[in-house]
Amino acid sequence: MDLSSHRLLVVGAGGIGCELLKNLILTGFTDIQVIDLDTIELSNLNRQFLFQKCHVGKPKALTARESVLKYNPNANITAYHDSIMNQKYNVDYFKQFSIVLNALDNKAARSHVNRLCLAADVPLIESGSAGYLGQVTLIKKNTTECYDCLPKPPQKTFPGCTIRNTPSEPIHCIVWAKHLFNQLFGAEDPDEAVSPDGEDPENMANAGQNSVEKTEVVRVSTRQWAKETKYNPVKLFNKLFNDDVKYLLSMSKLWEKRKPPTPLDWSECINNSSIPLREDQNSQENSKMTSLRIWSMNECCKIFEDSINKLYQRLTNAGDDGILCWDKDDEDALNFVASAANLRCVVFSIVVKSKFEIKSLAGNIIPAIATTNAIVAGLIVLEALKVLENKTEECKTVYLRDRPIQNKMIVPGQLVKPNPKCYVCAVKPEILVKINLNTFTVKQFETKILKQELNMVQPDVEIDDGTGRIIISSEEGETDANNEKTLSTFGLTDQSRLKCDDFFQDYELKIILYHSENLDSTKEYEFISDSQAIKDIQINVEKENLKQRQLEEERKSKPVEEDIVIESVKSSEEKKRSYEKAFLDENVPSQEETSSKKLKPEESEDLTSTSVNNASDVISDEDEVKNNQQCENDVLLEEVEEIMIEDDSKQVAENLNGQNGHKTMPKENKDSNGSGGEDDDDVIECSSEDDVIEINDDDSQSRQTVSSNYYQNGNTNPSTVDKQTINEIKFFQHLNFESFQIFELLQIN
Amino acid sequence: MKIIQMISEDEAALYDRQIRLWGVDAQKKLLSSRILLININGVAAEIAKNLVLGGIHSLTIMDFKTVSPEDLKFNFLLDQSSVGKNRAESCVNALQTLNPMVKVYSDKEPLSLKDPQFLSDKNFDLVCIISNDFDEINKINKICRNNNVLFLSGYVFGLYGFMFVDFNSYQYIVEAPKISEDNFDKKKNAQDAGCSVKQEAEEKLTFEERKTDFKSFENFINEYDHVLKNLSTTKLKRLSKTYLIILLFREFLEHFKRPFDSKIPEDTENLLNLKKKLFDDLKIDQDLLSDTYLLSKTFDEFSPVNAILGGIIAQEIIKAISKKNEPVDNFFLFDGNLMLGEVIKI
Repeated sequence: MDLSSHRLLVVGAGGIGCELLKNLILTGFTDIQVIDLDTIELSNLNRQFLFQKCHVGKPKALTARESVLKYNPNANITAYHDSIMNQKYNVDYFKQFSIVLNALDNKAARSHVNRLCLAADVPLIESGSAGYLGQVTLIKKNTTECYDCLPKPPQKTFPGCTIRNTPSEPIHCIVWAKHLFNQLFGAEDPDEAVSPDGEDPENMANAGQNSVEKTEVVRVSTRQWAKETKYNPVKLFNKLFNDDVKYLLSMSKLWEKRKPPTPLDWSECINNSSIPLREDQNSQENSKMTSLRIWSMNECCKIFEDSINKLYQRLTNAGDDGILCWDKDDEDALNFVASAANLRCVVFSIVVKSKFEIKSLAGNIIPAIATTNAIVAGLIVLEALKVLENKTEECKTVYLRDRPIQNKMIVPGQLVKPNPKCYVCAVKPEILVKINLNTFTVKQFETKILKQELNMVQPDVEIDDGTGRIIISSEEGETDANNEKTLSTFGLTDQSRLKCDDFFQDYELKIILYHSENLDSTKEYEFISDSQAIKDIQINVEKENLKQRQLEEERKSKPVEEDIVIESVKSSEEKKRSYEKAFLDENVPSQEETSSKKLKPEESEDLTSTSVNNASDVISDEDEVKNNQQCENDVLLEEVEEIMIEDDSKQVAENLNGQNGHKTMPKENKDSNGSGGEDDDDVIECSSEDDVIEINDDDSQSRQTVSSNYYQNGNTNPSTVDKQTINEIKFFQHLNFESFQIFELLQIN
Repeated sequence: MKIIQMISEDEAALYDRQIRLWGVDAQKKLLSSRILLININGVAAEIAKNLVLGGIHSLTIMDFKTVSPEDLKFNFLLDQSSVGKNRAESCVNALQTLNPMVKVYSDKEPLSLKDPQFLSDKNFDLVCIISNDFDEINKINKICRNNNVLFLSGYVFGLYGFMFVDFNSYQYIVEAPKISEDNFDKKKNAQDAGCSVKQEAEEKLTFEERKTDFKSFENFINEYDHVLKNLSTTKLKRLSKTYLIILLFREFLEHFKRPFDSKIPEDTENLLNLKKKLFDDLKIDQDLLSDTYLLSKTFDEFSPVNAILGGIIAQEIIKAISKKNEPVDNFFLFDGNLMLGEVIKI
C-alpha cells in the first residue's frame, strides 16, 4: 500500500500525540496535519518525548512537528496551534483526510471530532489512556458505535450541604477550600457558597430556632467581609474555623449521628507544637519528597497566613475589578487551598492530606506514563492501517490492561454496531428533555443543554410547529433578546418539539420537551429517552438484590456449599446501555441535597470516558475456562481465539459473536503460571452472552454489570459464580471505581 | 551504587505524573537503577526512550554493529549522519537529550570479549537483550541467572513480537484494596443521617508480599519438544500464532545454526519448508499458519509493533526495578492481526 497517498489528521500533540506522530512517520506516512491548542509544560516531559526543557511554554503542535521531521525531513507535516473546535476546521476540512486519529484529553473535543467525522464520513480512530490503562477503537459511520452512542458518566457533583455543613471526606474539604479561594480572590459564584447553610434539610426540624443566628452569619458575603478586614488572616481564620463552626454546632440535628466539629482558635493553633497533624504512616517514604510531608498545626497556620497575604497583595495589584484564577500550578493558590482544606479536616476530624495529595485531588490530575501512551499509539497505527487497507471488518476495539487478566494484557474486542437510538448518529436523532418550561430560560437551554450536555458548538433552534420561529440563532446577537425569557414564553408546552441545528457540526437534532415542575432540587433537567428501560432494569436489579440476599442467607446456613448461584438477568443490548445509565445515575446526588455544582475537569489527560467506563470492563471475544487438572503447559491453551473455535463450544461461540459487544468481566487467573491449577475451578457460566450478572456488594455502593460470555464446554447451565470469582470481581469493581474516581471525583472547579 | 536520599524538587516536578501513579518509593528505586540494553534496533530504541524518560540512574547501550541505512527506518534515535558509525555510540546523544538527568553510556565491545563478571550485579541491576538469536539469549540469560541480575529479552518480527522474562527467584509487593470496617460503619451512619450523600468507600491498601520462581530460557529451548508432544491436536490449534512463529525460529536456528534473517531471500523458503515438517510432525493443519500468509507478511521490524513491544518491555523493566505488581511470567506474545497480547508460561 502506498502510505504517502493518504492524508492523515492527528488531533492532539500531547501524550499519545507525540508517540503517534513518531509511529506514523516511521511507518511511512508522509502527509500529516496535526492540531493542538496547548503549550508545553514541565510535567509533560516525562512522556511527551518530542519536547525538551527548552521547549517549555512553546506550542505543542509546532514543536512536535519540528522534532518529528528529523525522522523524515521529506515528510509533509502541517501543524496548527489552534483549537479543533475552531470554525476553520469544518466538514469540508475533514473531508480531505483518509482517516482522522484522535489523541485528545477531553470529552468536548472528542464529541466534536466524532460529529465532524460522521458528517464528513471519514473513519476515526479514537483513543485514550489513564495510568496503566488504555483503549483504542474505530468509529465509522453506519458501521460502528459513535463516540456518543454510549452515555458518558455524569459529571461528579457534591451536594451543597455536604460541602458547607457536613464534610466527611478530605475531598469535601478540598472542594470547600477551592470554593473559598474563588469567594475570596476569584470569580464569585453563588453556587460555591462556603458559609454554613442554615437550610440544611437534615436540620430543618429546628431551623426556626436558629433563624436569628442564620441571618447574622449568612447575610454578608464572604468577599465583602474579607475586604472589610483587609484580608486579615487571623480574622479570616477565626471566622472560618471558629465562628462558622460554632454556628454549625448550633444545628444540633446534624450531630446526632455524627461526630460534631471542633472549633479552632488561632492563638492556640499558631502556638501549637510541631507534631504533624497526623501520624506519617510511611514517614520513611515521605521523607523522600518534600511535598509528601504532613504539616504540623503551626506550620499549616503559617502557610494559611502567608498564602493569604501573598494572594491579597496580588489581588490588590490586579486593581479594583481584578480577580485571581485558581491554578494547581500556582504555588500560593495551592498553599492556600491545601492549608485551608487541612484546617477544615482538623475541624471535622477528617484525615489530613499532604500537599502532594491535595494537588492531585484539587487539580484533577490523572497520572500518565510514557509506556502506556507508546503502546496505545502503536495500536492506533495498526488499526489505521487496517482501515486504509479496507479491512475494517478486521478492526477491533482494543484494551490495554495493567496486568494480565485471563492471560491477556492487550485485549481485542468486537466492534459494536451503532446504537439506533443514539442522539448523534441515528438517522433522525431525537432526544427527550424533561425540564421546567416555566423557569428555564432560553440562555440556560443554550448553555446547559445544547452546549454543555449535548456538545453543540453553534446551535440554531427553531420551534418545530410549522411556523419556523427561531428562538436561538448562531448569528451573534440575533436572538439575545430571548436570552432571559423562559421557554414557556414562546408557547412551548409539554411535548413541544424543537429543531436544533448545528451547521458547523452538520448536525441536526430534534428535542422533545417534557414539562415537569417536580424535578428534584439538584437537577435542572433530565434526559429521559430511556426512562422505561431504566425503570425495568431498576426493578430487575432490586429483584436480584433480594434473590442474592436470600441466597447468601441460604449459603450461610449451609456452609458446605461453596458456590453461590446468581441468576442472570436477560437483557437486550438496549437494556444494557440503559442499565449502565441507571448505574451511573446512582451517582447523581439524591433528593435531599439542597444544591449542587457541576464540576468540570481541569485536567484529564489522555482519557476517553469510554476507557474509564470500560477499562476494567473488558470486552473479549472468547474466553474458555477449563475446569480440570492441567499440566503447566495447558496455561498456553486457556485462551481461545475466535478463529480457532471448535467442538461444542463453536456453536455457542458463534451465537455469541453474532451479538454486539461482549462485555465481560474476565475471571482473573492470579496463578497464571498454572501451578496447581486450582483456580481453574473458578468458573462463571451463563446461558448466553447477553446474560448480565449483577454482583452486588452488601453495602450496595458499587455495582457492576457483568455481561458474561463465559461458558464451559458448551454446557450452558446453571449460572454459577464461585466465591473466589466474586472476590476477583469485587476487586475489579474497585479498579473500575478507582479509575472512575480519578476521572469523576476530582473534577472540581 | 548511588544512594538517593531525597527526590529533588526538579525531579519531583519532572516525574510528577508518574510518581502519582507508582509512588515515590518506586521512583526512588528507578532513579538508582543501572540497566544494560544489548543491541539497539527499533524496538530497543523504544525501550531506551521509555526508560530514559522514566528516570533511571544509568542506561548502557551495548552494540558492536555499525549503522546501516536500513536501521534508520526503525531506529528514531539515529539520523543520516550516523550511517557507518557504531550503533550504540550513535544513539547516545538523542537519548541524552530526552532526559539530561539520566546517565547514558555506550559500549561497542562485543560481549564475547568481556570478562564474565561484566554481567554482574556490581555493574547492572537488569539486563535486556533484543535478539532473535535464541542461543545468544540463552547464553546471557544463564550468566544473569547465576549473577542474580534481572533479565529480559524480546524481539519484533512483522506484526508479531515476544518478550521473555526471567527474574529468577523474585519477590515483589502487590497492593490489595480493602474496605475498612471502620469506614463501612461511617458510611452506614451517614446514610442513616439522610442529608449527607452516600460516601465513597475509602479503601485502605494492604500490601502483600509474593514470590515467583521463573524458568530459564534454557528450559524453553530444551523442554519444548516434550511440551509439544504432550499437547493434543486440539490444544495445538489454539496456540498463539506468535508462539508457532517462535517455534519456527527455534527450528531454523537448530537446523541452520544461525538465526533466521529476513533479508536473506532463501531464508523465507527454508522457513516454509521447516514449517511443513514441524506441522506434519505435530499433526496440525498447515493452514493454521498458511504459506501465503507467511509470505505476505514481513518478518522485519515494524514500527507500530516496535512501539507496542517497546512499551510492554520498558513497563516490565520499571515494574521489576520497583519490585511492585505482578510480573509477566514468563512470555508475552503479541499478535498484531488479532490485536492480542497474551501472557503464557512456557
